[in-house]
Amino acid sequence: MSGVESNTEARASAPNRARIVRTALILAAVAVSFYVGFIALGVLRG
Amino acid sequence: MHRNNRLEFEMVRILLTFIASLFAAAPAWADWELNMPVGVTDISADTYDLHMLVLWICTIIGALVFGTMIYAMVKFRKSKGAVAAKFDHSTTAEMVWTTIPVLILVAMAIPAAQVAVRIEDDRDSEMTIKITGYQWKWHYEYVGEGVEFFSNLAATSNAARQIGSQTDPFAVDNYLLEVDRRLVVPVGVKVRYLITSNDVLHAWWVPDLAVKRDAVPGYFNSGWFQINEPGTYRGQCAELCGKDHGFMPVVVEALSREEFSQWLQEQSI
Amino acid sequence: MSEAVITADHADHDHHGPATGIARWLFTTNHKDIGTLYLCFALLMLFVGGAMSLVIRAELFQPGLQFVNPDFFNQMTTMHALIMVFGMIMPAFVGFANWMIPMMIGAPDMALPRLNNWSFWILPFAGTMLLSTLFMEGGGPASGWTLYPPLSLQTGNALPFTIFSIHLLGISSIMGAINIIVTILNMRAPNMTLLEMPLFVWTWLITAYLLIAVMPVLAGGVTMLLTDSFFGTSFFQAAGGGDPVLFQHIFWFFGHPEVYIIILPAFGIISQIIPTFSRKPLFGHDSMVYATASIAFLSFIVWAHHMFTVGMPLAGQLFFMMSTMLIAVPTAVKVFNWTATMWRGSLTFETPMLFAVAFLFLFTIGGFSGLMLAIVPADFQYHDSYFVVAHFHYVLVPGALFAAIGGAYYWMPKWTGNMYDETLGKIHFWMSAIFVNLTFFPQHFVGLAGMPRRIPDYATQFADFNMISSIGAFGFGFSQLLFAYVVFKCVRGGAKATAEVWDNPPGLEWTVPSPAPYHTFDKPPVEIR
Repeated sequence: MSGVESNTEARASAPNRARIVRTALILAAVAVSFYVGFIALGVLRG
Repeated sequence: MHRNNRLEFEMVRILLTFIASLFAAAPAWADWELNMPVGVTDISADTYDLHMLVLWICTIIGALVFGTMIYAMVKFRKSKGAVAAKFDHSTTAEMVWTTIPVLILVAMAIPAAQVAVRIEDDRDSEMTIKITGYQWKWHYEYVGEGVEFFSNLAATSNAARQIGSQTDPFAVDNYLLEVDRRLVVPVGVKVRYLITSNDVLHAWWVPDLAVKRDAVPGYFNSGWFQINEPGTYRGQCAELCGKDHGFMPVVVEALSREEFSQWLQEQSI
Repeated sequence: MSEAVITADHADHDHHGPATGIARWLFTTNHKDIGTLYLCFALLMLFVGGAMSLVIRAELFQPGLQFVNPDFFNQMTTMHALIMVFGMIMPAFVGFANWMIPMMIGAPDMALPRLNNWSFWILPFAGTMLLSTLFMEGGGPASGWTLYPPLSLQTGNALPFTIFSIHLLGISSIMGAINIIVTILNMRAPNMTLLEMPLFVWTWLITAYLLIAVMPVLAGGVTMLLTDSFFGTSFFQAAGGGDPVLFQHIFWFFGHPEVYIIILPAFGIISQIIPTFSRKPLFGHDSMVYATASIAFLSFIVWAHHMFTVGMPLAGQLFFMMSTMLIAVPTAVKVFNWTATMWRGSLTFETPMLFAVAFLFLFTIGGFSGLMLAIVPADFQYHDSYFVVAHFHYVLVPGALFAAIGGAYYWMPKWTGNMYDETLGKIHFWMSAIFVNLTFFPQHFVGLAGMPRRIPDYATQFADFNMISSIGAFGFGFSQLLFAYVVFKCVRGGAKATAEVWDNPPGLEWTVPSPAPYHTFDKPPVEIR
């Protein structure tokens, strides 16, 4: 990909930023779902 | 160059022979407290054999792998003029050194599974003992015989182990491995045990019997052992259970059938 | 701390140097600064956790109780592990990730720099809270780092603080892992495909996924401990219809991947060091990636091998035995590939390579004892004995820790611009290597001979090897003071390092000056090799 903008102060370009935030939120959701899921496992087993 | 190679080769050979002889002497080491005991049950002997099998295999593989590493580190030194080759992959090599380990693992898993199956077979036991773990002692009950008692760390050990006691542990008989009332069982009899706990997790472990089972409060685990030789066999709690986890040993005394019957009768008096 | 040189990058007018004073470190969003913070924190925790291990080994020097009462001893074993795992080794590798991943992929920084700052600063807070429990009524947690109920529910006032601290440590790890994945997937140099990334980046990518999957599981488990303790639930108490063993399943579902979370970045560092000092590319790069991924996948289906004595049906025993044995295969593949990298290379043995080679030998020994532990009937004898303690200390200390130390020597000239003192480094290496074996090898023997773990006093037949082990522990501990000195001295000054530092090492980090400028790769690199 030519034409990549120079990144100063690590600020990503706009489309990249949206992708970054989306990926981060998905991963966070995965983490939360594992947390809730295993507690649910405990509830169901009890 | 030729002389260096020869010397290195001989050194490696001597080293490997030495290591091999160490392991050949392994059963003798049990006396020096270097190795797992062979024990006094068929299962403990099977377990020991399995352990030695895996240990031998690991030693041989280790000798080969470490030998190769040492050789590479000696032979391909830049200071000796080695020039680096350029190769950086080989699918054949990857396949070979993936397949061979799998085959070795299968070879280990088969006898291991067989012993595991034998351990699980608790049919045809002649007597049942109920073991209950407490903080910090064991309780034994001879199911159906009306005999039950607690088994605490022996008073001599208990006094000696207090912090600042000034008593030399080496002067105490079976320091930390003696109890006031032993679990007495008959030789040659398949003994089934049920184990549970009154409070927290404990574990009942006697190395000479190759028995280790967790005591879980509110649940019963079960297993069995059959002792082949009369004698006294000592073990310890094997699950952290609080401050005196290290001070609640297990002592099993195996008597002949007649002596055991007599002992049992004496308990009911 | 020598200031990172500001690059003469006149085209980017936004550049200012780093802030000065405390404010720089409190508010930094720079991956290099944050990496430094993590590494310094880890070094400090090494000594805190190490001091605890010396309390343990002092008490175990001879039979009898000389120094501490049994309950405090249990607090020491518990806290030693919690500090070393969550406060030392994991932050150390996150520190390496922060410093090196952006440079290795040609990115200017991590994707979420402020999140990065928060991820770090949680740690001193959580660590302080955890350590403070030692001074609470009832003392610190004393149920082992595994926190099994019902015993852990007997902890006094320390329990909620321990749990909260674990929650915070977990959140820090999860946020860090998210940052790492997002950075690697989104900010690579445009012409760098995933399979062209260096192994250190790959191992961290995979580790980050493991973290996201399992840290929440630990959090769930300790949350249930909390509610059992305070809110009348009975997840783990039979009287209320629960099961203590359920906790063990939950804990080890976290716990086993956790040990791979610890070791995979170590593998990554070794994969960087060995090719450099062999002057030869890493053998089987793609194979190494697949092996790492296999290890990570398998790590999810072996957890109950920590629980063989709990009362498991035969089918469970056999399944977990075989899945555990299977992990030996990709691990062995990695060892063979590292060896093949050295084969017909042109080897030199500077300090980083010494630590890497020691890793190869000694981690492999830890792997062998791990294979032995997988064998169920044999495990009935090994479980909860010093054989297990020997195994995991081999993979953690001359395994993970040596890889981290090797990585520190390897990259210190890049971070500071100064060569470390090679003579002192070598002395540090030999002392560490000798004493670590003196400490932990005898523990195999006492474990096989029947000595349980987590006991403050032992039967007299175990005395000789315990004495040797304790001597080794003190030697090893004090040797690390030399390391701290080497680091301190290197930061202060030394022979000036070139950009390359070593002899034509692979990787983008060696294309920037030493010390690395505060901002690197503001523009993505053209060449990625």
